[in-house]
Amino acid sequence: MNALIQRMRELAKLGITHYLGPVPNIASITPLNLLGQRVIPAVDEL
Amino acid sequence: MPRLTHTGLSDEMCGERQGAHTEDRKLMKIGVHVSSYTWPGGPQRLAQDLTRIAQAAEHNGFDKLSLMDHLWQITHNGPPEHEMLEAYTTLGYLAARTARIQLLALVTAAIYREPGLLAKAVTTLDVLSEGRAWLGIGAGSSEQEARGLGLTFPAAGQRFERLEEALQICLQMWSDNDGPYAGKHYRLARTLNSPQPLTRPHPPILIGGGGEKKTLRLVAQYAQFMPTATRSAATTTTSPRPSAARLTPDPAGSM
Repeated sequence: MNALIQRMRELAKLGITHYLGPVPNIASITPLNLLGQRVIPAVDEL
Repeated sequence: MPRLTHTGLSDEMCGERQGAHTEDRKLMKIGVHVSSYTWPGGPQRLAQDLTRIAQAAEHNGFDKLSLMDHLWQITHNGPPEHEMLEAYTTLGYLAARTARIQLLALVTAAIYREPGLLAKAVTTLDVLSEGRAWLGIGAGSSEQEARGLGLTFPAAGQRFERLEEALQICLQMWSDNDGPYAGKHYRLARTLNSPQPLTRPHPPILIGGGGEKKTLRLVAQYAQFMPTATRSAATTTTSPRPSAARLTPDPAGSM
């Protein structure tokens, strides 16, 4: 998760404004919840 | 031939959506891309699974939900016999099951639908989702599925010509001009489109593909966003500035 947040920071610095990607094991919902709890709030603060 | 450009649109829309979602000024927006429908519950539970995924994505703050516009599963994700849903039917279904998340095909193969019908499909999605549709579009690249189901699949040069004409037709149908359109491949007698999209001046346009000679020009001329593959994500989208980023393509990546 930290690596992904760091990647978002790097992309934002490059001018990337949107990030779209597949989520492994998406049907279990758990990965979506984890991303929502940890990554999205951190990226919102960039 | 009518020549429509994005004059007055693109600069305003770069990196930010006009219309229903302009209150969101985040630097980076994260979306989820659904590239497989082969899940443990099988086809009988596909509708429920898709609903749970879309609603969980929305609940967790994802900005977009995109689907592939393929007819068969693509090689990278599995064998062609794996489940695949038609994109715009599925997006319409998801529009009814969500309230905020933006919806798009990543990306529509321009050659799969007559452009007038494509413009109507995206317009319908935008109206019924209350302003949440994007047009993601590309030249098309999956010859096997196209030939398998009897769809036209011309050579690359013609596919790009058709892509450009499809963009021109969509933009004309999303404008006040309901006059005729006469291109090399498509001829429309009257480009009437009622109702117009709720997103004004039109749904954001993302053009898929990374070619410098053709795609970049089309992005600059007609679109607001282009995808850039990265090591850790299948797709990122950015504003149509060719200098914005050139990252190492790696479609195998995921979040």
